[in-house]
Amino acid sequence: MGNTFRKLLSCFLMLAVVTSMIPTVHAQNTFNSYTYDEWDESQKAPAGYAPVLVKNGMQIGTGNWKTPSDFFMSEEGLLYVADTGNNRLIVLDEELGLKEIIETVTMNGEEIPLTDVQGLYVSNDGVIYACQTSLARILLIKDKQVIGTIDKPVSSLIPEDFSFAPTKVGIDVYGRAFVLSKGCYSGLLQYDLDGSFMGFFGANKVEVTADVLFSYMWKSILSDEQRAAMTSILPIEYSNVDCGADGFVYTSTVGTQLPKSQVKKLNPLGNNVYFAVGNEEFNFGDEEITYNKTTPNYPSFIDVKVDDDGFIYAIDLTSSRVFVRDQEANLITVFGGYGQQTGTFNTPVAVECRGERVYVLDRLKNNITVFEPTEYGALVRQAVLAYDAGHYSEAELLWKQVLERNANSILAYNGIGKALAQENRYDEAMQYLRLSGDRYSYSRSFGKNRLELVRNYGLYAIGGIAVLAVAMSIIKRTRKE
Amino acid sequence: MDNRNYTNPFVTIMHPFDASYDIRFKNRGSWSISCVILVLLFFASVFSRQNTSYIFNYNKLSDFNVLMQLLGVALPFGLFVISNWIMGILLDGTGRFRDIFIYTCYCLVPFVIGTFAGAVVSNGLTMEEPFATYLIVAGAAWSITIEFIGLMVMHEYGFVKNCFSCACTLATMLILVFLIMLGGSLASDFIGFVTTITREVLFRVS
Repeated sequence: MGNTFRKLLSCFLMLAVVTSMIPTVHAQNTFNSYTYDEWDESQKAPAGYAPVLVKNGMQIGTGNWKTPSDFFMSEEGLLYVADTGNNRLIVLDEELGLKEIIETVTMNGEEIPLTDVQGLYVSNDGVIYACQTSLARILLIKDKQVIGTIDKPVSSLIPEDFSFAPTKVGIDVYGRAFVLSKGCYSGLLQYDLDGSFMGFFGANKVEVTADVLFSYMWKSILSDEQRAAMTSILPIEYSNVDCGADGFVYTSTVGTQLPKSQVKKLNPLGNNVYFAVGNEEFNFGDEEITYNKTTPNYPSFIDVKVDDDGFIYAIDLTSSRVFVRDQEANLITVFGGYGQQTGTFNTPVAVECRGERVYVLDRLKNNITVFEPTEYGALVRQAVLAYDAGHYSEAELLWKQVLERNANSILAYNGIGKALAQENRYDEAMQYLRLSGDRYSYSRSFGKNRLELVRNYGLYAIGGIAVLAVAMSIIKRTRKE
Repeated sequence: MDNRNYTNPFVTIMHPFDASYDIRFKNRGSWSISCVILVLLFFASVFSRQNTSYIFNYNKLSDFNVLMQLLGVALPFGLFVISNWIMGILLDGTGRFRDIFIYTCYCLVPFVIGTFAGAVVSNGLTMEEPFATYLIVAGAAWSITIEFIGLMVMHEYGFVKNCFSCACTLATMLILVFLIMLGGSLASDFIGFVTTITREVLFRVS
């Protein structure tokens, strides 16, 4: 008896030793992933994106970069990096392999250096738009030849002392240029195909805060001289611009007074059309806000990018995170964060994407991080796309898989609930919609369910009441008699 | 005192003139009925918070705090009764504290019923049908109307003077809230001061 026990014990010990020798693989993230619930409280979520590649200038073979300010992924998959501090452009392929270094370009037969390029855009036909901020011009470069420039606009709209300092540029699907000029509060400068100035486009509005109201009140009392001495109230200028394949212009804003509408989707009239359910302005970034003494650290967005599927990526400088939302303003995922490890950033300044890959440029780390969706992230993307395309049952299956990986995903509950409602399974739909916090859809399902109840049992209810009434009157009569 | 014949709260809500006269001048108010109504008011507020249909209910159900809920009911009620009593003294009203308290409780009956009914009815309504809110508003309006009439009768005011008295009552409520907050912050400062001194002394001694 003791012998067999000893044998068993040794067997177990052997097993324990052997299993402990098998290396276990951990996919530990260097950043926290989360999503927000109905009450705007953060809930843990699996990572939607994982870093697959990080390279700095040394590793690419160009020597160290100096404060790169922008980069752009062109249509054919070339990544143009503006190495601003070194006065050059660097062209990389999708895997961050070096293709070309552009240090000088030919302009009117002269070689000129690419000084102070702060913004980049590459049109579909391969023309590089490089914003030389301090030289007040945008160079149109093709094959190292300057084929044109965008200069200070000439128009009666532009005051004499207007200083043109282009920082970012976007070219929309029709070839019009939208230029962001430093210190220009009137919105984006819109240029036509031939480079002529068309006008201002989509200015931010002044946010109505207590300060603004107070100063309006004072200004209505004071004299003209006193009024001139006061600081004028200006809307916040944009921090970046991107033109989507859908023809809309996307803008981001740094340092809003209120955490609302930091990312805008401007229609051809220059009006923001990017709202949450119920046409409400919403906070693109973190809901849970930290405080510096009593000043709230609101999210501030430095760059925005919209991919071909309509997902919007924006970099929040406050938390150094990239927020991903869909066209209905649903939070898809959050990735990155402040830190020194792979997958975290120091000062992220630009985000680009190609296919499902996301590229983030860090100005202080002088490197580019490439992210790819994880299994979970890819599932969420597919589910959103399937739902948007109207494939509700397919979307339901995908959302169920998402739910297995993240029970906190209100998006998944909402997707399943809406799919069930499409199939007229209102009872179940209501449970899911309630978990997702979507009162409007819940109410619709509830109404349909109620209608069904009335149709099925309404007649019986009325009949029952009638029978009861007749019975009562008979009882009354018999008692009287 | 004629203790056998209490005014029925359900009669009060239909006949505010008679009822408040009876409560004030014939001592027909009952403390126990008043307390029952107050408890029901508290229950109604809890029921309305927790059981209003999900469509209209923006409260986080799991974040329920009984003490805060109790405070939310008892504080406005208490402040109103005390303020009105104070204004009664200042403006030569004839109502006693007991009469104001009991009559105000009686007046809450429509509001309590409206709140309960609103919560129940809301469970059969969709977002486009705000009838539950109408019920609650109707109950509140009824309560306020009979309260106004009753105070006029028991203080022996005219209409205008009663309006003035009610406005003053609301102002007094605000002043009382301010005083409570002031007292609270002073008390906490004082407690902090005493604790610091005690700690200091203890450090020196040991």
